[in-house]
Amino acid sequence: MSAAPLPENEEQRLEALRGYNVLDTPAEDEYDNIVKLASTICGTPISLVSLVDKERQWFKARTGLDALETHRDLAFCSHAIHTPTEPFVVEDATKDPRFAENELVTGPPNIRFYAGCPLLTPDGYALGTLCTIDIIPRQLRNDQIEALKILADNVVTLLQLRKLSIERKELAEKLTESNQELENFAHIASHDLKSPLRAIGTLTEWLEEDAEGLLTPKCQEHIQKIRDRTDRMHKLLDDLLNYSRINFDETPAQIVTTSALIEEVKGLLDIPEHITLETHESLQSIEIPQIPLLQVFQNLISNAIKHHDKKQGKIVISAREENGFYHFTISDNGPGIPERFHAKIFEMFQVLKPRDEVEGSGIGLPLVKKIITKLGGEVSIDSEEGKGSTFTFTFPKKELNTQKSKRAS
Amino acid sequence: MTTEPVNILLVEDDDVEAEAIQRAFEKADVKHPLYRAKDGVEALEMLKGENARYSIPKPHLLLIDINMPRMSGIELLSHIRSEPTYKRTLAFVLTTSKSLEDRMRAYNYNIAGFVNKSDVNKDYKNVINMLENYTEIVAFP
Repeated sequence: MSAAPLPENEEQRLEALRGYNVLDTPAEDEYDNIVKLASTICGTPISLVSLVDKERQWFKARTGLDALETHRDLAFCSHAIHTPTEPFVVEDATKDPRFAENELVTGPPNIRFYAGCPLLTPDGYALGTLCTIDIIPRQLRNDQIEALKILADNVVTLLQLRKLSIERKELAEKLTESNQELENFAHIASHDLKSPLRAIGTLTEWLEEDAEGLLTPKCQEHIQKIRDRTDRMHKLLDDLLNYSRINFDETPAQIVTTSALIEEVKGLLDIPEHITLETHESLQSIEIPQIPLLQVFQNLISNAIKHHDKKQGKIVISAREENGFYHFTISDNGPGIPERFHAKIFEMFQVLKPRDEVEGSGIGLPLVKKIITKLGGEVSIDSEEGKGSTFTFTFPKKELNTQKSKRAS
Repeated sequence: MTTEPVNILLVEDDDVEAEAIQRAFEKADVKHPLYRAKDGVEALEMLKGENARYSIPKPHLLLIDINMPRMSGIELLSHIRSEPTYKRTLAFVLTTSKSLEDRMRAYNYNIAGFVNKSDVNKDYKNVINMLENYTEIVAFP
């Protein structure tokens, strides 16, 4: 008996094998079916998906054999992987000096015939074989060998899929992690940026106070501009903080009726006299989580007010419940938004007018979108230039109930 | 009005924020002496007269910032509340953020309230009034 020598690329080969994370995993139907098919096609009692590990061969799938693994020195497959692109066939092991004294030949399972097709990965590593075994000497027809090769390719495909899905999962985890880091960063950065900014605002105020009567109108104008800019940056940082803080797990989701919520929004916003806010009857009965929907309404309504350009303004809020979804619309008779900007307005930091004309951080609508998306819903706009805008958002009722019960427990 | 002085110790690392408080005191003509420590460590030394510092006489009223180098406002509160001498010392916390977490942590240390830093400039009269009311309590326990 002689054990097979190690392949030249053994170290890399083992590393590749570990990359599939398949060793010692439970049996799977997809692999089991392949070995059954191999035995059916070849008329042999035993078939295996054997992976050649450092000191053993381990069977991902097996039919006709109880053992989960054997020592590598006994493995026919260790020989087979030396010819990664060719099937390895032993017609009668008792007549082959390499195997005649192998204890798997001299004792159970009394191997006589062996045919193994290497499992060759796309990057050229033979991980093991798809092999079929008999206890009597035999020969395989060419078509049987061909079928065995195809089945071996299928095993490799399964392994590749497995690897891809593992990589995808790892990538998704990394992505979540780095998103979290980014949000934390935005949170900390906007927080830390506020304190020097506040100092600038305060110092300019003192400058103005202490130099009263000494400043030229131009100087005063410039100081005013500094203060406008610091106010704007404060607003920007506040919005950025809000945006990065959206995390429903931390937000206590108090459930309120929409009408109560709108009343609260009215209190927070300065609604000018020439603008009327109309709400629909149906709002009475609909219950929604107060935070974060307060922010959604506040942003959409304040946008409608901010951009309004007519003598008489009208904002209509309506709501309905349909097929387990809530539908809300907020319509105004303002200037409207040309269709080519409809996607853009939901992007971060995008504004359609110079900030000196209309104050805006460009975070309001992205924030709305983020909140609604987190609720499992969608937000859209229907608007034409000169014809007002209607913002619609929907989200499933179910998720709210889960939150509700979560809080109750 | 109270005539007995209450020694107000401002614990704040930012010079501009500290000056804002000073200005508000001057504008409102507050008679109580105002001391300043730049962090929690310095505040403790000034209260106790350690490390060659002048020991600020009682009664005390503390205005404490949260984020500071060496010893934060929360750590300072935790220190003074663990000592019988300062267990009942009146303390306000200076806040900037609306961070609920910071406020909640401060609340655990029996503070008298929060002073919003942005109000110190714009709404200083209210802030000073509130502090004056408390100084009366401290002066006549």
